[in-house]
Formats: sequence, C-alpha cells, structure tokens
Amino acid sequence: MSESQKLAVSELHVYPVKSCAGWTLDRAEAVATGFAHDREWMVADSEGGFITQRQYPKMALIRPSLSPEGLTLEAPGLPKIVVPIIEDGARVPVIVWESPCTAVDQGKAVSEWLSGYLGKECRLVRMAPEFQRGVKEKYRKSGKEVVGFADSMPFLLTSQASLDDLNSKLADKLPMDRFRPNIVVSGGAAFQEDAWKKIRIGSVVFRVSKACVRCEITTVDQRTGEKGGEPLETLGKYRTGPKGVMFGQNLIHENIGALQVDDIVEVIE
Amino acid sequence: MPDWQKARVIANVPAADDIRSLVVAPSEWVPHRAGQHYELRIPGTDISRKYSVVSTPYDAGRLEFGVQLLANGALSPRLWALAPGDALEIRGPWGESFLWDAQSGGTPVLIGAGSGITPLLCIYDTCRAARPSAKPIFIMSAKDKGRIMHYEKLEDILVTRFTAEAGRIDADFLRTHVVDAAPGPDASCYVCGPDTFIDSVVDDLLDLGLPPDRIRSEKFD
Repeated sequence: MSESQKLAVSELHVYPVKSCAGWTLDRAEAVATGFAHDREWMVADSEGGFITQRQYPKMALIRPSLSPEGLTLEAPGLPKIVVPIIEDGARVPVIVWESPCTAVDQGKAVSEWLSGYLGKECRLVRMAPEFQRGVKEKYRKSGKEVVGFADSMPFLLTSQASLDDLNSKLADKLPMDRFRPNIVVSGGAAFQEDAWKKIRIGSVVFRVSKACVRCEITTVDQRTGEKGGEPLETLGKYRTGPKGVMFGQNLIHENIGALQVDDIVEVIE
Repeated sequence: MPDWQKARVIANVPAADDIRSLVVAPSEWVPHRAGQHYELRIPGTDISRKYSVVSTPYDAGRLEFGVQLLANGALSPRLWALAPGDALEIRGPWGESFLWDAQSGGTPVLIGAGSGITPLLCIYDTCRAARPSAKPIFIMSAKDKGRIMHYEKLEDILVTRFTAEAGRIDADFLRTHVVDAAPGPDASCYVCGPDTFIDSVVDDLLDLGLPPDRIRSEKFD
C-alpha cells in the first residue's frame, strides 16, 4: 500500500461533558459505553431535557478536566468549579432525543454555576451506575451494546481526507473540531469511510453502523462559541442524503481495548 | 455569507392553536429559494433560532414565518409577544440541502408533522405559482386540525393523519398516499418535522422503494 493510502489514527478525542470542550489524547481506552469518560456527564434542564450547543453555542467554551478531587469546569468570566463526583445521589429522569435515562444530579453548586453561565436553569447530571442506555434497537447485534450521553452511538469517526475535500471548497478552512469526532483517520481518499463496514484499530473491532447526519453544532466555532453558516451550506450542496447532510461515520465497537495515535486502521469489510 | 440585518414586524397573528404567523419586512429583502430558512433573534440578545420561510420568493419585501410556542423555549415566547412595528434581527437565507426550484424540482410530495409544515407550505405555494399544472401531494400529521398552520386554506388539498384518532403515519399509510397515488417519475419527497418523525418516515419511504436521491428531509428539533 502506498504512503498516501496507509490508513492510521491521527487524532483521538474524548468529550466528558456532552456539548462541552473535549480532550485531545495520544491514547484512549474503549470501555463498554465508548471511550472512557466520553459523554459521561450532561447538562439537563429542569424537565430533564438535554441541553447542547444547538441551543447554547457558548457551551463550547466550558472546559472540563478530571482529578482525584473530581470534575473541574472552567469557562470564560467565571471562577473554576470543582465538582466532587456523586456516584449514588438523587436520581433524576433525563432524556436524550427519545432515549430516557436515569441520571444522578451532581449537586446545587455546579447547577448554579452552569445556570449562571448559560442564563438558563439547568444542572449537571451523570449516568446512574445501575442504568444501561442501550444503543437503538436497529443497530444492535449482540443486544448488549450500550452508550453514554452521546446522541446515539459510542463513536464518531471522521477522516482527514474528507475534511481536506470540504476545505478545498471553502474560502475559510475549518478545523476538524467542528465535527467533534472521537477518532480521526489519516490517509486514503475523501469519504472512503462511507464504504467501510468493519474496521480494526489495535485490538478493537468496530462495526461502521451509519453515516453521521450533521446539525448546526458544526457551524459553531469551537474556540469562540460563535455560530456561522459553514460547513452546512457547502456540505448541503454535495453531501445531502435522505436524512440530511452527512459527514463522518458512527461506529459500534465489538470489544474493548486501547487505541493510540498512529495505530494502523485495517478495513476488514 | 448573509449577515444580521434589522427587520420590522408587519403582523403577528394566530395561524394554529400553537403556531403564530409572524410577518416581517427586512431592511434588505432578497428572494429566497423554497425550503430555505432565516435565523431570528430579538435585538440586544444573543439567542437565535432557525425558522423556515413560509412565504414564497414571489412575495417581494416580506417574509412570513410560523412560530410554534414552546413552553420552555428560549425565543418563541418572545417572538409570540412581538407587535406590528417592533424590531427583529434576521440572518439568511440559509439552506442548501432542502430546496425546491421550479427549473429542477419535480412534483413535490410533502410530508410534515407539527411546525415542520413551514418549509412545506413554501414549497407548495411556490410550486403552484411556478408550475400551475403540477399536482403536488401534501400530507400532514398532527394531533388534530387545530394544530395545522393555515388549515382553512389547505383543507381541500391536504391529506391528513390525525394522530389523536389514528396514531402515527406508518408504511401502509405511505404506500396508499405516496406510492399508490403515483405522483410520477419526477416526484421528490420532502419530509419535515421532529427527529423521530423523519427517521420513521424516511426509513419507510426507502423500504417502499423510493430512490434515496428523491428523498430530502429537514429535522426540526
């Protein structure tokens, strides 16, 4: 295989709090629900509805980090807050799209911090330890597939070649962080990932389950929280399918294991 | 790329039990393409939301939007409270993935739920104006007729599914009202409504054999 065709992991990302800034990692553990800590927390409104950058693009500027003391959140204009992790506290029903989950309220202090930042009553929640959120019926194979607070799937994969193709059509080039992927693959041809059915990275085998239909979060500059028109306008011209504008593929893993940057990506099927 | 501009409210009246018809005059009106939307926001605030244009591109100087009231909404309650003469900010038109044009558009088969009616109204009226001999199909799913925007103008042509009596649209309904209605080989389906409505209807249309490149959808979440 020529150099340009060699497929390898170029980036790994984890987003501990749904719709907030993520971590860029050299190595990530795939556990039952996806990468460890990926969408382990979520911001919910007073009715348990999930809150995202769709409604509040400035969530992009909330930066989480983890330490033995708990989860730390930082955001512009606010003192940082350390949230000791409450594993077994007050249970609250929450809902992600049409998927009801049982979550644990992470307390009043962080609720006030978030509500102040967003200008809306809300709280931080974490999945209840006993609750298993199954992946949608039609995408299951073993029946045991689970996911955290991600929209629907444990992983999103994008390819650098696809971004390069999109950017060739844009005056203002966009960074990959617009797409909030977990795994970025370098090498090969644009949108090659649409034809993949099964891949292996390191010791982990992934089913490539469906094209990711993009929403307006892709139009939010992840560094400033500002919303624009791209990439949806340009993607709309050539990447529209029956369910919307597509970029990237969702994956479901068939086993657990560690992934590292520079791991070779093997297309099995 | 479009920029924010001021618009003046011309009218804001009930159009369904939970939808108001908001008509504005932008400072710089441009013709949109049927299916496109604008972002709206109250001046001096930073919360913006997308609303499809209901009026046709032939209706120069004005833009009509359908605003559904969401109790927990960050913007809709404020839009509902606007009076003629009030200022609004708008940005657009946006949208390249859910469009109907007289030149290239086939016979529209419109399938909507709730506030998803808004871009479909635009496509329907634009088609009637630009291709009067076309026979579009317009299907609406709603709890009851009180929830359908501009129902009194549409009731003679609309195929309705009132979910309170009959439940949700399913494959049998689509087979009868889309496939068996035989809209012709140039027909294009436009599906608009909540996320789960789109998933269910699009999956059914694909299972019924409609070609993927003849199906377009817009999710309202």
